[in-house]
Formats: sequence, structure tokens, C-alpha cells
Amino acid sequence: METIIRDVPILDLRKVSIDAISRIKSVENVKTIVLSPDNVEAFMKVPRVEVRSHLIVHPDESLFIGQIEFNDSFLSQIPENTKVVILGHLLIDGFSTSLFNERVQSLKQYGQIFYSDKRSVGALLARLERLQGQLLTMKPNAVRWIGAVSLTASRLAGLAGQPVISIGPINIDPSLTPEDIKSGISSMVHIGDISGPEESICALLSVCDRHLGTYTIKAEVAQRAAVA
Amino acid sequence: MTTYYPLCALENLQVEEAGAEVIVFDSKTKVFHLLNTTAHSILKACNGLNTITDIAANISNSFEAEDFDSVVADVTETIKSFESKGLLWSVADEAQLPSIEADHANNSLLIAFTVTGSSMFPVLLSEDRVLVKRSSLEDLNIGDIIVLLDLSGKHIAHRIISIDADSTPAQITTKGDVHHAPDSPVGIDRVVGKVVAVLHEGEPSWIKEHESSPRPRQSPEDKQIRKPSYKGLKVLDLREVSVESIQNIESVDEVSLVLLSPENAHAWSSVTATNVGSTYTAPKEYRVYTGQPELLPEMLEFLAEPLRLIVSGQLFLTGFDPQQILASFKELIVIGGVYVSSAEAKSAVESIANIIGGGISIVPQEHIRWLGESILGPEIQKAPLVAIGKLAVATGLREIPQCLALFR
Repeated sequence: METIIRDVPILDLRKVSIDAISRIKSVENVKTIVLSPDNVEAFMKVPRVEVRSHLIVHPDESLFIGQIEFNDSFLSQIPENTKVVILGHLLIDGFSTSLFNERVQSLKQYGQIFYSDKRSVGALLARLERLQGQLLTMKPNAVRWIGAVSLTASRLAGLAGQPVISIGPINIDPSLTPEDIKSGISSMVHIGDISGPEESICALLSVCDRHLGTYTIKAEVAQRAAVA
Repeated sequence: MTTYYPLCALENLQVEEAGAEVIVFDSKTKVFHLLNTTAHSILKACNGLNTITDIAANISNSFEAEDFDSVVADVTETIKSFESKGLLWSVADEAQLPSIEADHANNSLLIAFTVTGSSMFPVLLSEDRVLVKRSSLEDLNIGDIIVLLDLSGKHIAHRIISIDADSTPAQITTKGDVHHAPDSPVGIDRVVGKVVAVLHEGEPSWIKEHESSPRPRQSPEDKQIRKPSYKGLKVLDLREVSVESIQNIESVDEVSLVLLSPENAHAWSSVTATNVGSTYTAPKEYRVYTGQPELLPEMLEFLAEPLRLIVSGQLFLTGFDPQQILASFKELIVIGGVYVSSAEAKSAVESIANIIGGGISIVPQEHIRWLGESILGPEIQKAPLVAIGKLAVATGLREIPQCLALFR
């Protein structure tokens, strides 16, 4: 019996035998497929639909998945001369470049890199063999918003003037005014969709130093809010 | 009343014919059983798919018996005897779980669940049936596949990755083999039991003690080479792929960049390709960046040697002077656009880069950058703005703010 694999964010097939891979009828709607050099040839025969990327992780490489604060604490936990492969977001507020050079032999990054320290990211770039994603600057010690966010008055109040880095869709509460947004967020880097009333979207974009994504105007919501 | 499907516990049994009788050796209990032909026929019919009535009908036909009711009674008695000797499992379907609770508590019970999805690929395939033995906390180990009732009320078969026996009730955390995120921990009271066998196309594959998965499935005899197609990819990196595999590709459609190696590039001509932005031949040593990378002069300090770089997207060389650009790159191939901070830097890039399908633009060193779909409203105060993609103008904005230095 053959199988169809669908709707999996990350499909890790590194330890799957060639025989088992030959049984896959198709792979559908998978963001990233992880393969080993031993089974990549077998996987080449598998039809795929809506697969964003596939990466080959060699046996001498170490794969890290998820959002990583790339700092001395992280670096001190990996062995010397590690070949690092990261599937996820990398956030850099600074690290010891000597420690980095000691621990990281090479780096492949599948996801976004956000940095606030130029010297650190300079060291990282020198060993960055593969990048699939953005390389964006952010303000130091920015508040992290990862995943879907509802932008409300209480969330703005909690910022206390700190800059923001946001990865994921932002839905703006229609009760917020453009002034609320501009005064509540000093600076933002955002990847993802923004939805809400038109004037609120414009206000949020006006505080975005970097923005990558789309926007959706919710006219009905805005009108209801206006009536209310 | 629950319907049970008897299943011969073949994982423990060795069967040898001895004249008109059959010797069955139970390797688990180290006990021999002597069966006559009829009893052996009954045992063989216990495949986990037949009910007692089905088995009685088979026996009745085989032996041309006239009194079906007495055959049913004999088969029932024989099966009970087998069960008491540990030769049989009683399999019930998951749909009968509520009634099982009421009328069956013995140790030979297995509950059959149908697998949907592929979270346990390749151990479990969609449409497989897993046989689950009720288990207590002491029976469970990390690595076991269990069926549990998840927090949404759905039965799932996943592998145990941690057991917190100190909590009350004990908490079990599981994960699908192809998933990276673990499931939410659940209490032991939500665990139905441990998967002890997988019924794949009717054939049970038993998970032995101290093993966490059934033995690998046999290869299908009719295995045939399928031709893959690729559609809607940003980068199709074929540099580590053999010539044979490239020749086997059915088609490539809507791919921005195809990368080939010098060793396999000649095979590309055999591929049916439509809407492919570019193909490029580069050794494996070349770095590949996709997206909108922004490189910095600060990396120069750490570079062991100049870069050989392929970029698919928009490359920002912010703050580089011409000398820094020449020192940073040995080869630069950009499928897309390059953005630099000065006319001198632009000339330097022109002298070293192979730019396909785009150009070199000068943008202010400090700028706001929007990519994708954005909308410009009256609130924009920071500038200059670099917009790549679609930029709409908000309702009521009658003139573009002067602070917008670049609109692209």
C-alpha cells in the first residue's frame, strides 16, 4: 500500500529507509522536507505538490529546529566545529565572535535571520553557506511577537516603548486609532499579513522599518467600529 | 453486546503438522498443544477479521455439517479453550469501546483502531489497523506507540517521548514520528493502551517486547519507478542529484531558479520545463541565498576567502564601498535585483556580478523597506522608503509624501 503525506509543516525523513520512501505516493502541502544524502535519490522519484523546500542534512551536520536566540548561551552548548543547520528563525542580539568561530564551522539557515549587532552577524555571514529567508536588522532587545497576534490596547500598553519584532499575522483591533498605534510602537520589523481598518494598517506600516508580507483591509469591521 | 474477532497469537506460536494432528508450541509459555484437524482449522480461521459465526460457517461448509447451531457451540467452546491457553487474542473494533468497558476486562483483549493520516510514517500508513492492548503506567516505556484520547476528543496513535510518573495523574507526552512538535501531555487516564501489532492489508505485524516498532514491511513486487514533477518552487537545487534522477523528472513548472552541477547539467535538456525563471550551473561549493539578504561590510573581517555566491531574490549591499565589494566576492550571480548605496558601489557590482532578470539600483543607506503588498497612508513620516512589490495608496491620500525618496 502506498501513502500520501499531506499537511505537515516539517517532514523529517532523514531516518526513513529507501524502501519506505519508495512507498510514498505523493507529498502534498509540506513546508519543508528534511532528507539524508542516503535517501535523497529515492525521494527524487516521489511526486510532490505544494512543497516549499527540501533540504539535505548530512550525517556530520547538526539540525536545530525552531526559534533560536543565537547567543553565547546557545553557542556554549554546541560542540566545537559544529556544522549547524537551522530550520526556523534566528534572533541575534549579539554573541562572542571568538566563541562563534570556535563552535560553528558552517551554518545553513532555512528561515529568517534578525539581528541587532552588526559585528555578530558579520561573523555569522562569513560562515553562512545557505540562506533561505530574510536577513533583517532589528532594534536591540526588541520584544518578540512570534505567531498570530491580536493588536489591542492592552498589548500596546505592555510594550512600554520597546521596539518589536513580529513574525506572523497581526490583526488590529478596530477600536485602536492610528494615533494609538504610532504612539504605542516605537519601531517594528514584521513578517506576515496585517489585517484591520485601512487607516490602522497605514499607521502600523508607518512604524515598520522592515515589512514583508501582505495586508487585508477589513472594511466591515471598521464600519462597525465606527458605528459603535 | 460486543462482537469479537478472534486472532491467533501467531507471534508466539510455532506450528508443525504431525500426521493427522498438529503440534503447536507456545514459545512464550514453553507449552506444547496437540490439536486435531478441526481445532487446527478453527485456529487458522482466527485471523482477526472473522467473527465466531463466520468461523463456524467456514467449518460447517468444510465438514458439511448439518446442525449449524451445534457447530457454533463447538467453535465457541474451542475458541474459549484457546483463549484460556493464551493461543488467541480477542479483537474488538474501536467503535465498540463503550461496550467493551462494560463486558470485557480480560488480558487477551485487543482493540483495533484504523489509522488515518501519516504522522507515524513509515511505521503506520493510512488505512492500517493497529491492535491496542490495554496498558497501565508500568507497562509503558518511552518509545512505545500508544493510542490515546487527545484533548480534542480524538484517538491518535503516537510515540511516547516522555513520562512524568510523579504527577497525579501521571502525564504522558507523545509525538508523531514525522512531527517535530510534541503533542500536549495527557493524563494516563486518557491512554487507551499500547500498540502491539499493525494489521497491514490484513496481515498482522507484531511489535516484539523491547522493540518500539513492527518489523519493516516487505517490498511491493510491483514496485515501479514513478516520474516526479516539480511545480511552484522558488529554488530547485539539483546539484547533489544524479544524472539518472534528473532524466527521470517528468516536468518542472513555475520554478524561479534551477541549480545544476557541472556533472549533471547536461541531463537537464531531457527535462520538460515550463515557466522556469533561470537555470544555473554551479559547483556545490557556491553559497546560495534566497529571499532578500542584506549583507554588511562587517562580514569582511571574518571572511576566510571571497564569496562565491548565488542570490535568488533581492540582494542588498548596504554601506559597502567599491573596495569592500571587490574584496567580498569572487563570483556573484544574482537572479533578481541588487541594491547598493552609491554610484561607485554600483560600478563595482557591475564589474563582478552576473545579474539575471534584474538590475542594480541605488538606495539610501538608511531606509525603510517594505516587500510584498503594502499600502501608503498619510501617517508615513519615516523615510526614505524602498517598496518592492505592490504599493497601494490609501483612500484620501491625495499626494505622495515628499519624504518618499524611492518608489519602485
